[in-house]
Amino acid sequence: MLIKIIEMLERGERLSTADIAKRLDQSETIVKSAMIQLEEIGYIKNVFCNDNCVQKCDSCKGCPFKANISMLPKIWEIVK
Amino acid sequence: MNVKTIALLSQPNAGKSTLFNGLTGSKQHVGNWPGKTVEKKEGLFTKDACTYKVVDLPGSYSLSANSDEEIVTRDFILGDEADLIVLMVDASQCERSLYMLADYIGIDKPIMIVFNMIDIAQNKGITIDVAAFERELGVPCVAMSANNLKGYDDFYNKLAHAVSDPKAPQTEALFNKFREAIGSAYDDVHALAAQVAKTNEQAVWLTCKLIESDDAALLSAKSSLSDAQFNSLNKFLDKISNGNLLTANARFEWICALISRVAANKPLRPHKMKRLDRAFTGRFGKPLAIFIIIAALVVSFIPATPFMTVGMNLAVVLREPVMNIVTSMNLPIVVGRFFVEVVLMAIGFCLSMAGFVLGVSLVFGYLEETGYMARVSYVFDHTMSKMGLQGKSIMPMIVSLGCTMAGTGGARVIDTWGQKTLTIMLAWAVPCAATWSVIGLTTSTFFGAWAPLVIVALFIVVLFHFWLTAKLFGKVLVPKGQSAGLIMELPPYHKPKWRNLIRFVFGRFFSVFKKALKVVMIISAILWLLAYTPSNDITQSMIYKMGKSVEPVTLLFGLPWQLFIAWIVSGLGKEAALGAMSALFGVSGSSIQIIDTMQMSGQLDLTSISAQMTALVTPAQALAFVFAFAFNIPCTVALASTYNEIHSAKWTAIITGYYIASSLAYAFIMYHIGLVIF
Repeated sequence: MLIKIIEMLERGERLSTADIAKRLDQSETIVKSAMIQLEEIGYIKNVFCNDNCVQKCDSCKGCPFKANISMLPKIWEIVK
Repeated sequence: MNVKTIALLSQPNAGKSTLFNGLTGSKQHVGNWPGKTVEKKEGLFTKDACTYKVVDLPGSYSLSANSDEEIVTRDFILGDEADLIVLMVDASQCERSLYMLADYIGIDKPIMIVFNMIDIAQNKGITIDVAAFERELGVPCVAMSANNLKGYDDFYNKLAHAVSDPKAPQTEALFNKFREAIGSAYDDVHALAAQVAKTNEQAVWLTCKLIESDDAALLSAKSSLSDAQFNSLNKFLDKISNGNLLTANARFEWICALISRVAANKPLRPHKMKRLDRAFTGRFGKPLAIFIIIAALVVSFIPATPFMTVGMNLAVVLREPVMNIVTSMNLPIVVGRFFVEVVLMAIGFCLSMAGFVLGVSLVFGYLEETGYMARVSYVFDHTMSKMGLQGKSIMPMIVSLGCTMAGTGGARVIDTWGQKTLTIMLAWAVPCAATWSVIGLTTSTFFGAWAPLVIVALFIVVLFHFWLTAKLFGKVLVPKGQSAGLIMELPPYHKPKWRNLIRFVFGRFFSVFKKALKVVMIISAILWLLAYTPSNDITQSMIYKMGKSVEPVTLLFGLPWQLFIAWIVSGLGKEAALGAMSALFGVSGSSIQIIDTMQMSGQLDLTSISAQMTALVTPAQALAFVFAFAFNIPCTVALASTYNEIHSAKWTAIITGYYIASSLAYAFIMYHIGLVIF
């Protein structure tokens, strides 16, 4: 299953965990678990932007608005 | 006294500490593991004349020796101290927890498996056949909820059984998976690992760790094997590429097969939610998303209306009482005028603006809390892809709905310079919260009930602008073939937590009001002073003369001089436009004066500033301003942030110039469309 997920990413596919679960005929929980493991062994990385944009937004004194990061989905991409 | 040592092992948040506290109560000792800064927790409890020493191992997802926590956990398990390992599995997501079991198999140490949080699992519709699990693995298993202290009896019984008849899990099925995945090289490595390991099972475990290039396993092999054997081992390992992926994949195949035999998942409301999700993320997801966003913007006007009504009438209603007070206190009239035309007008505008922010925050906060907004980014991801952008470009776009500067900062996650620049370029077109609030205010002021239609038109033009920008700059910035794959994990749907939502909405309302007031007040005061004349005749003022001198040109774009100045200052910060409108429509020769004139002529049926402003600006001009304002540069801070991210003065200038040009071009087009319509 992990190998199939990596192959999908290498083909440049853009999918949700639900899409993968459907394709592999597995539960979404196990796909999410596979994502964690792939991240653990260094094949994919989480590209959630909280390191950059939230800090930037918090440090801004000129704007009365704050970006709401929690609306973002969690995104993984392959480690090149 | 008979003392047995049991160690609690699990991934983080599987309830290990709850069980530890439930078993040991106050008999705990907290210290550090030798030579590490990792916390060590031990405790004692006695049951049926047997005393148990419980060791709470640090939470870990696997037994690889990557972090201090994992090293401590692994060393303890591989050592001789523990009589039994209690592996805790979160029953509500046991697929996730079982990876630890798969990694444990082969260690050849007695184990007992606890399916914790079984109540939560049952509520989710998950059932686990514990007896079947016991048969599959040949070790004692129990299901429980560690936070229910009265439900520990089964655990104690199984524990007594596990320590009196210790068993390690059956290994054959998983070993076969490893052999199948790795091929003949597996046997070569195994032959050498067998010389290092104490038992045959441990040899399999060590074989996997060697294939995974685990440092500790390689060190152990180096110290136990001869140089020639170790060199042979390295040669065998070199033949295996992606060893850790192959072993992890084999473990997952084993987990999937095991789960299919011993667990069932029948979500309690599967069809309703699945149907809904299919609609949101399927074929019609994109048009549905556009419809929902537009509808949400329109609905935002409802909670905003009372604030807008109060805000836009504030100066008119309080003008006379304020002027009476000023007269009675023998203060110069200019003080009263300043208070009405700057302070009250600024407060009124900011109240209206904050009201719209309240409406938008409430409606979009609701959508976000339900988990829908993440689906919007999912369905538009494919559009990003067609523009040649990476999927993660969607994040700066969404963040820009809150603040463009945060969006440009968020673009740092994009690897290639060209894609990053194009993403920032597109993120500038996403109307930030300040833009939406000013647009909400101006459209409702000038177009009344037709305001939602203008917002729909603006939304369509934003989408067109995305396409146009990608067409114009895509070929230069993003050569073909740079698109990469991605996987999105969308949050589950859930009911909004109203208390949190209301707190967030009003928090944002007050924050926006307070901070916008400063900007609006300063801009308003400066422009008011520039427009002020003792004779109450704005045509004698400096700003009027300046404005009128450029008006022949600005009118081509549909912008009378007051709106042109509002457009210029909006480049400093969107809310600054309100300061300009507040000052320039509030001073002599403008709205307040118009009231006087109308009162005298008996024509006054206008009761609010909004109605008065419509007397000074035609609908076509207002339409031009809305588009000019929306596509103007977001703010100076976003501009600086853009330069900071792309490190190119040339491209920062290109983006700035492009947006100024686009802004005026859209204003020109919309003005002439407006002239035809109105």
